[in-house]
Amino acid sequence: MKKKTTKTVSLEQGFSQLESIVSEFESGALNLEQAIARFKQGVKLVQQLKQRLQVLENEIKKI
Amino acid sequence: MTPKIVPVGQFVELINLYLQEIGEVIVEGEIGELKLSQGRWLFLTIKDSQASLSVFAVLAQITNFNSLSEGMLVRVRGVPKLYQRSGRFSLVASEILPAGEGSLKMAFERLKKELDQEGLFALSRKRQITRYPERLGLLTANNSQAYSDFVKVLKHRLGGIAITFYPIKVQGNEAVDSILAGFRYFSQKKLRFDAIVLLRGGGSLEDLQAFNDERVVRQIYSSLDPVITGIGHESDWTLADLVADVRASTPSNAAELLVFDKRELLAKLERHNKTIASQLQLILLEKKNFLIKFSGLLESMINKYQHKLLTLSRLLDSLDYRNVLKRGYSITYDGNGQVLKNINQVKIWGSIITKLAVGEIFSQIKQLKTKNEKKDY
Repeated sequence: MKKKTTKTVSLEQGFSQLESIVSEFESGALNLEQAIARFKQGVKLVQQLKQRLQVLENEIKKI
Repeated sequence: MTPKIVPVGQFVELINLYLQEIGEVIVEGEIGELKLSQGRWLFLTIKDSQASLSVFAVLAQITNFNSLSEGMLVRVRGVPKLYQRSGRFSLVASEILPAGEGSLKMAFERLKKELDQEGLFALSRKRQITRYPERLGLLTANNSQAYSDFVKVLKHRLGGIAITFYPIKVQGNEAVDSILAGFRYFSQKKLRFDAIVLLRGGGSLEDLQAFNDERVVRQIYSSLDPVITGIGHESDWTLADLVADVRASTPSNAAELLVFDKRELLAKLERHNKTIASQLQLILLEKKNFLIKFSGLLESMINKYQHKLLTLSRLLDSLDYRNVLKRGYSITYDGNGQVLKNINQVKIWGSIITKLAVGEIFSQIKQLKTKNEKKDY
């Protein structure tokens, strides 16, 4: 499979990581330092996932 | 001319030579009697209003045996043969297929019941398909409507998926073998899929026959990867649908069930993005409020201590002995600088020092009197 982008994150992993960050935030258990680190991580994931969603074509290999 | 005399064996052989000329035939009739012998051979009769015919088959060849029952209209493919030992005429069958909607329905219900009892359709063994599949194995007919519907809807919803397409025959004699070959190909260890997608457009019960074949059902049951089917129309339920991990009503519906629409995912991303940003802001606001509250607290503490300090210093002022001296009192010390509180501390002619508000008096004691003695002055 050809990959144009530097590193596309898998939708499954990306969304599950992002969702766990969201729930960590919502649990209110993060201190400021952790919150900033998670926020950075979350923003990066959002960008990567957006990039992944921009892939338009499906690759079809006929046997 | 007198007919030639021939031994029985030769005669039967001769008849069989003639019968071979007929070759393979397909005979349609209703199953009259159906008997299994020693679990290996199948004896049945097929009949119509005019005649009946014995049929013999090796059970292993009749893979759909479970779906056959007496009274069912069938098409028997086979060759005619006269058996030497019994002299019995039989059609030696290689395939017995239900014919007509009624029989197909009957065969379908029979097999469905049997496989259901065996547990092939149990909900507990259905596997979940990831909601974010990246690799799909596709089994459907080349250039079919099912193929183009699926690919179109999938692409419209989400890109970036690797699809391995193995074209199969979905109808006719070769359909079952073709479907089985597709599954076998996909079961190679090096190929792993998030799901195998088995598709076919709508058709009659007869058209969908391959998807009701016991071998196909068992192949789906034993597939390494989860299987989603999209066969026929909304109302068509084949046995393949029943055994599949997920059943979609149509090929398009299979694409819809497999992947989220990317617009839906983008909206989800926005929601998550907003949540973490607002949550972070909330934490920052909380910290800021804490700082404001803390500095207020600190200020009021400082004020409180300042006030206390003032009061204390005033009290200290009022307690200063020098202020007492200013009011006319004085302190007397003995020669060693000890404050005098009792006349026993000194003796007649001893020296004492009296400290006044301003200055000191050095004196010599002339007389001593206790408190009880009458005062001289």
